[in-house]
Amino acid sequence: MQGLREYLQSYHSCPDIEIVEWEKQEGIVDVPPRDLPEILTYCLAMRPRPIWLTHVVNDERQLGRGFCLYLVLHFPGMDFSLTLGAKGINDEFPSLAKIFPALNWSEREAQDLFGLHAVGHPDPRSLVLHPGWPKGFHPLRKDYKTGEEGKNFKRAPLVFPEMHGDGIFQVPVGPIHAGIIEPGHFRFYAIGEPVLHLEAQLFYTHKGIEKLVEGRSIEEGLRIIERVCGVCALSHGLAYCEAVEKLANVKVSRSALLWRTILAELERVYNHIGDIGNMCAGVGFAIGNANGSQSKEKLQRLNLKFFGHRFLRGMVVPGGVKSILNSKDCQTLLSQLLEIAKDFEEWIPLLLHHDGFRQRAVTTGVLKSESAVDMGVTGPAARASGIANDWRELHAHLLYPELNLQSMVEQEGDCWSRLVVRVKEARESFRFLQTLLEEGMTESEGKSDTSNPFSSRKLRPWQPAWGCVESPRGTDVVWLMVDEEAKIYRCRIRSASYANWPAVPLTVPGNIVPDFPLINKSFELCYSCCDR
Amino acid sequence: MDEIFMILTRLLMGIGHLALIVVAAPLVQGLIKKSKAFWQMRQGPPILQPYRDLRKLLKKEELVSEHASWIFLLAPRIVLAGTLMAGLVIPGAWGWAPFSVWGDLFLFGASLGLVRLFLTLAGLEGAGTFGGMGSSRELFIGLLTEPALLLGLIVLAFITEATSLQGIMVGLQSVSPLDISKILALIALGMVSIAEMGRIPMDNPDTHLELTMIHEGMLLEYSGPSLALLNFAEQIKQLLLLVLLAQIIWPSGLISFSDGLLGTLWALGFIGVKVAALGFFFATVESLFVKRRLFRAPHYLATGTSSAILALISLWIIRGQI
Repeated sequence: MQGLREYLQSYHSCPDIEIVEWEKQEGIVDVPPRDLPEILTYCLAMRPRPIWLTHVVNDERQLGRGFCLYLVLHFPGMDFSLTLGAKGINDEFPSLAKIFPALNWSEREAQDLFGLHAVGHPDPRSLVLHPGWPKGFHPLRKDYKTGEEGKNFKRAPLVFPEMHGDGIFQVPVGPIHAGIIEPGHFRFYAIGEPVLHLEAQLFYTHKGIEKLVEGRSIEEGLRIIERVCGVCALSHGLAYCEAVEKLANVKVSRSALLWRTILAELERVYNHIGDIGNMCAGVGFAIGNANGSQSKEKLQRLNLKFFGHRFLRGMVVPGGVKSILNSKDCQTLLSQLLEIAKDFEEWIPLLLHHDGFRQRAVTTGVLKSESAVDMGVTGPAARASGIANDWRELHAHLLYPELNLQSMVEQEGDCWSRLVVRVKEARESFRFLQTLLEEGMTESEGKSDTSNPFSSRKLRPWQPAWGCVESPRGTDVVWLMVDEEAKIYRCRIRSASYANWPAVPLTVPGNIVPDFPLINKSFELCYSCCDR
Repeated sequence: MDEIFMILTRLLMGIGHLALIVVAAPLVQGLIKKSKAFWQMRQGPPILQPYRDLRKLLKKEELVSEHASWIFLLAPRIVLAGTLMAGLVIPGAWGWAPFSVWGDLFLFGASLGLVRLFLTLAGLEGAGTFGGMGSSRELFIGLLTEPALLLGLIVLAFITEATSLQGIMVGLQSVSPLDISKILALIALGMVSIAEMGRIPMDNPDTHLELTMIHEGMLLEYSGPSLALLNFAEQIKQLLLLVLLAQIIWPSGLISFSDGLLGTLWALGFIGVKVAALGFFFATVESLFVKRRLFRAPHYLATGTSSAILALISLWIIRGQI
């Protein structure tokens, strides 16, 4: 990362750049807001191209820093993460969405929740706040007191772009659907069955979690963060704990890392298999759906039996894990997992060799590789479009470096590729689980190192820290800052679903309306952790 | 006096014929659901559940969209009446149909056409987009199924030299089961029946995905008793098609009371077994296949139509004339 450091040090126009921290894997650099576009352009021109982890706006006016903007980039290949911090923003900041479209939603969200103006944003419509919230309602500002906001909300119709022409009609779908799924409104602009354009209106399940956790202790925060959604509960909690550990400067024991890796893979495998089954429902393939649901249920029951929670909540704590299995339980868990893996191998050919299924999924909902890069897509969606983007491979953490993990990449970017990526990753996860549990068996003999180094540590206040975990949907990022009393000052959750949702509408035009459910299910994004 | 007695008997038999169809239709639905549950390794709803569902819906409040006109409430009644009308020309357990003289295969086709017309109108009534999409797709599919259905039946009419369905079924008894034109016509009718019943690979009756719906999309605005009538009509239509196919595959011929009570009961049991077997067959097809992409539907239905045409041609070649 020498080139980058020198570039930043010798940045021509401005002596204000201050390198706060520069270590082997992480750098924090303060830059003036007005220079952000140029520095980002420089970074994005580097090869391999950096990916975005998170974009955070923080109200630090109490500290005399005005509003601050933090942009975390990761440089794959070098495993280096750079936090660009722009302090002293009063009421506007330069928009970066034109340079890096992935930041589109984050900037719009900052406009809504902080009342700042993203200068030069190509699409400044409000995102999180639906029409009906009063002007001047910016709940993430520190001086906004919560509790009364519901009174000022007036019902108002949603606003969508108009489209005119012969035979064009709009199909409004949702937020209440015929099935029991999460709420989202989709507006199709179609000529007959082919779709011309799709607008997605989400954030119906916005629960104000980022405001809710402010001022809470680390433990309370963890309990809330784990409940942001019900698909990546463990990943959210783990990312949060990693951020906390960075602030406390705690090194986690190897045994805890082992069990964290096991838990993360357990979460991946039950989600992937459930998602594969759900894709079958999208094409009306009842047998595939039944098999997927059955295997997922079995895996979740294992979670409940061995770890006390179907979504593995409560297992990861700052500094380690709550408990580890003894050798006998390891053995039982492993043998039951292998049974499920065998069953999976028996029914998966039903799907993979099903002509009708292939015919529906191949060439449907193509996400182009360029779009995936531009929109900052992550997870199986990115890997199905030929991008080797897997946080487990990009960043050396947990026990992944020892597992020789490789991104499972498919090139076509269609629904079929997303299915195949999930199938391959589920197989890999079963394989990893076997290796890891075998180690767990020998490890849990004798020494039970459950002493947690965390409890006595002091957290560094007013410092940004992030934690990052590859969830089944993609990379989950939790960004954290605490105050002097170790209470949460700001916590930003950039879930994988939040990063991927903007790309979904891009894949729909050109397909027919009845193929949308399949496309949507092939991404299988979560609404709850996108909306928060 | 004898004439009045004759008319009365016929009337009673006609009512009995309809009553049997009405009573059996939800049972067949229950059987099909149970068979599908079997393939999905589930327990599935009880076989009698469709009756309970109908009773529940009949008791429920009915909501009518403010945009709807009188057609909205009329349509379910006409749909049910039209389906029952089709039922009057289908020979039942005893090979006898109430309208066997002046009701022929064209009455069958026309009744189903009337049902389709009012269903599609009903779909447009609620001014919702799903109803409209369902109607447009239903007409698209209907455009392709109706010719194949009628052509298939016409081939059978040529084979047996009768146009009433009762006559066809009686005539088929003396036709070899391996008659090539009969088999081709049967393939056509079987493929079209799947589309007419709204089953996979054409439509998915179990879907909750409103964007993909065809038949269910048209019913989306309905609730309460009207929905019950529409569901009931769909179950009857399904039963009629299954009976029709069963009678073509294993024609049982005319059975009169002169065969004795045992004979009549045996005939009833036999048709029950035939329909159940066919129902299980279609449930299996539905479990093994996926729903086709909408614009691939013509390929599937064209296969049905072309086998009907081939049936006609083979008949012409074999007989040298039609």
